[in-house]
Amino acid sequence: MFTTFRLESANIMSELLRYWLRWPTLEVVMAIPWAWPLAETFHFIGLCLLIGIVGMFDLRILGVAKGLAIGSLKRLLPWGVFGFLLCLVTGALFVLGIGANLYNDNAYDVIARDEYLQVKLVFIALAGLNLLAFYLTGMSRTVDRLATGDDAPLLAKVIAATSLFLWIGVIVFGRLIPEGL
Amino acid sequence: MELLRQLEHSGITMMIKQSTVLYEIPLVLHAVGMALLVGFSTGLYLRILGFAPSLPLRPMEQFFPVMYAGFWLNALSGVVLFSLYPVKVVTNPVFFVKMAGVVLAVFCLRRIRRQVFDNPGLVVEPQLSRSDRMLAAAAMSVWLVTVTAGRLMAYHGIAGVEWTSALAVLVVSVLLVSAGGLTIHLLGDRQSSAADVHHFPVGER
Repeated sequence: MFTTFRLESANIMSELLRYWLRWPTLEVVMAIPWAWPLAETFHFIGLCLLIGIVGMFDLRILGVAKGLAIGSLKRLLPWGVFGFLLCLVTGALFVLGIGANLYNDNAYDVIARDEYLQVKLVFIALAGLNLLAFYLTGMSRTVDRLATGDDAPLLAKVIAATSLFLWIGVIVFGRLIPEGL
Repeated sequence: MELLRQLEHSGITMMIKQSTVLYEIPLVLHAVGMALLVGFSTGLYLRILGFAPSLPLRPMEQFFPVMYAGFWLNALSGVVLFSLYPVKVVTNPVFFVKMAGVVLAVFCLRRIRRQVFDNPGLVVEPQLSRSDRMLAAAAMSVWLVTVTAGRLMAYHGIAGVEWTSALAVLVVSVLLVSAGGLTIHLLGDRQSSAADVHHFPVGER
């Protein structure tokens, strides 16, 4: 009886998620012929900005272009954040508007079904945790104080290398998500 | 054309097309290469355009190898992707827009490197001229067109959707740039930039 209850509650949960993750209005918008390619193009532009700016930041911590003081390099970071937001918005359009691409498909089923999308989402979450670690370990403040030519501490380098690995991984697994999901 | 048709059906291209993994390798590398080339050069162009003016320019030259690595990654993966469907690609006008964009963008990148960095007599920070900024803005616009064309190549043959999509990208880009310009204006970032310029002169050459 307990198993039945667990099964039922799992069913209710997935039905609830299916209901919440279905956005009929978005499906109508994404069904416009140019909406999907438009979102894809800005997803690409966003990823270029994200990798370009975050990549410069990570490489500087790893010891490339040491002539750059990290504090001043941080002034470019809002552009990387902007790139991430572009990807977040357009990515949400793909997943929540999937019904426009595949009739009657649902975001919940897509996330539950596509392994590449799952790995990609896990990588993004890990990149977020990595960023959190960058601040919580005090590395962010430490690298801010580094002057031109200074070497970053090992922990900062580990975090920077992890960030590079994860973001490149996000692109790789993102590109592997099949068009039909 | 006959040669391209033969290439499209040759043993090796058929093998790559039929294997999921072999097809996915150049596809993935093409996206990573784009991020390195377009992303890192855009970072440099943003600096040249006057964002983060306290950031010294000269050390940024060390990011050029990353951009060139991205270029060669994409040249190689691009040749493989081209060879899989050469007939489909050369009959797609959008492909030629993309290729023209790549040539123009690389030309801009090399010219900026010459104009801004190749100045052996100069030991201090390079001074940016109006032409440097124009070139950076032009290069960024060319990247926008090239990336858009690259994406829209996948939509060839679907009743004019490439052109309506291209127009939509243009409209959204203009809106984003205007909104960004307005935000910067309202936040008064120009004033704080001016303060930075005082320490690191970024003036006319």
